[in-house]
Amino acid sequence: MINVSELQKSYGDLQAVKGVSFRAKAGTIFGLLGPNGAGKSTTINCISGLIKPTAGNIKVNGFDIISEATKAKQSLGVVPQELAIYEDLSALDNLRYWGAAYGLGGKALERRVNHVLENIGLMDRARDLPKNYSGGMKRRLNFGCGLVHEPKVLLLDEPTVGVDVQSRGRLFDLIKEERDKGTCVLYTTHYMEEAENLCDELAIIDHGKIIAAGTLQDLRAQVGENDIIQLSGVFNAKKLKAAIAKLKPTPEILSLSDESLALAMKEAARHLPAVLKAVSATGAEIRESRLTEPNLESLFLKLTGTELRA
Amino acid sequence: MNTLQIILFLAFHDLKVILKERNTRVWLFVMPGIFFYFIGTVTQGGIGFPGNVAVPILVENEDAGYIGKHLEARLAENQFEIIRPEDAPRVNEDGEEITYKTLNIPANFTENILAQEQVTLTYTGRSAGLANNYDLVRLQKAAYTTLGDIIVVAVNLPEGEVMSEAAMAAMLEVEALTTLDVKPAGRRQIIPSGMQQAIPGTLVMFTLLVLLTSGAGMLMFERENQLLRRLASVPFTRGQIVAGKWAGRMGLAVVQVVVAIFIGTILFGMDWGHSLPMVLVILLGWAALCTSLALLLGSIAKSEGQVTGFGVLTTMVLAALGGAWWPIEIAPEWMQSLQMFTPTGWTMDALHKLISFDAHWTSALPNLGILLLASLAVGWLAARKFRFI
Repeated sequence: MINVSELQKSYGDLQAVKGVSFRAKAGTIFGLLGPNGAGKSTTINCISGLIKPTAGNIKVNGFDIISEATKAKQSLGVVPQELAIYEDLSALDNLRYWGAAYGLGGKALERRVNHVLENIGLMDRARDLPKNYSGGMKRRLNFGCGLVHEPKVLLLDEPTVGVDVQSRGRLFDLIKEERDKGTCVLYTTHYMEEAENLCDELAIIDHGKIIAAGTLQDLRAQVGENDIIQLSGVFNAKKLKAAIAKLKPTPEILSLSDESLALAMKEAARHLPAVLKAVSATGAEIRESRLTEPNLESLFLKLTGTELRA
Repeated sequence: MNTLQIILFLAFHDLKVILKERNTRVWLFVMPGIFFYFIGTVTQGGIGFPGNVAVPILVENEDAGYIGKHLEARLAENQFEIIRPEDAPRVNEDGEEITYKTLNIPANFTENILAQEQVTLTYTGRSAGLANNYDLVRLQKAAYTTLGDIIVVAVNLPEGEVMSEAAMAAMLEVEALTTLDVKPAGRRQIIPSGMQQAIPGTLVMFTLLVLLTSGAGMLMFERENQLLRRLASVPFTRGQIVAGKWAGRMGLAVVQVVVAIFIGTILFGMDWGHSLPMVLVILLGWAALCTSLALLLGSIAKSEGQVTGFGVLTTMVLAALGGAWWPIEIAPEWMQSLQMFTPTGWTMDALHKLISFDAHWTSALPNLGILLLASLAVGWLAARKFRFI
């Protein structure tokens, strides 16, 4: 459904996307996970035809997004990060407008509009103006506008930013429903937890490059069974490196500086006292310690040596 | 949908959304009438000459002789309505004091003239400007004609006789031996004032104002709220979207023009001259240029605040320089030259020619040409600068 190959996008000297490739299949939720500024939005903007790639190619439902833009876009539904709705038009009129823009009309349009209103739980407020809605209701309408024409490919650009927990749960249900109907959903987020709970396949992107990709199981396997120990304070990096090397079992050093230390090791909870003792023995001042079980965040830390930047 | 259907679909949607805004509706439907009334009323008669309307003048005639009366007759001939102090009401219907233009003819006026002694007439005017100057010219004309009558009668007096009232009165019946026949070299240009100036001027100003604020602002709003981003993913080409956005704003401009013409004609009895079709074509040309400017401003501005600020400022400056606030014909020469470098000026010049100066419709063709060329050039630039994010 979406086939991105060697995608590159530059703005002058700044290379926002550096050769991104991935495939997202029908009936799956494909997560593009990464910190802010990693290149997620640029990638999704290229896929939706909003900006032209510098190099590479993108196919949506088999059609090239540049040379066969109209055909490719016919399969696309986009839900932008901001609320892309007309607040002075009723929910009904918003849905009718976006449906008609994709060529729906007459009874087919009315049937789809009513179906979406039912699904997003706004049927009883259909004739009200969105400016009188709650934030969650607006989010749901924003989502509904992207799928009123039954797109085969749905692009969701961080749709839960600023959304309360209850509305977020409702949105997740809607996204899963679309996936179950066979829609290919591309979902960008910088929330690890969201990606873990929602996505069938994932690509982790940082500084414009995909650093890991696969199913959740594949990615977890890359982390292995190692837990992550993170310490912050005032350290002597040289002394610390030597002290850690003497520990049995010896932890893997993921990152080390004069202010922070990240280690990976099995059964870290059992070995934590020994680690802290060894670190203190170097004259270090430990201000904070954190122990994390294997997850995507620890994979990101392992791959990049840094925490996921929000 | 084919291209035309897509353009119309986008245009009607935009027009619907813009008209949903209360502020836009107020400026579009209510404010033009209010501006017509105030500007039209304030400038009514303040710019042109009084024409053939007799101007009331209070004459304090203390002269017991007949030359004072003769002077009064000459004043009446020169479009003055003589009011005697005893007949003059001191207050008007609202109880406010009335002030008169006053001419004092001193006692012994006749006696002193016949004795060939200098006499002084005292005139007290109550106004300034062109109208007052015109009063003075006619007053002096009456006084000099009286003096001429005296000379003619005196020269023709038989030896030993004295001047008589009858001889002077006979002078009023004598036709002037020489007359000055003034004909304009070409069509007579009466500088429009009152509603004739205010309605076209306000219409031109409001069309630009509504387009540069609501028309451009809506585009900015759609970009800031990612509605244009969503629109970019719809299976329309960029050209179709830009054309649709242009057509929607053109629709707004046409609504403004039609509403203003309707209000001006129905409520204020505006006479649009003998070339109404050409007036409408010129206004459509102006609407097209305003639309292109709105699309350009909406594409290059960085915030809605910037759109409003720039839109209002530009409109006010162009309206003033282009002769939308006052007839450019009464402005200094440098300002009249500057007018022809402004789009408001091209439009107002064409409207004055067609509405007030009764010119042939072809005289406005150069103005129409430049309006259409400018709207094409600005529209091309706006299409290049149009952005979805």
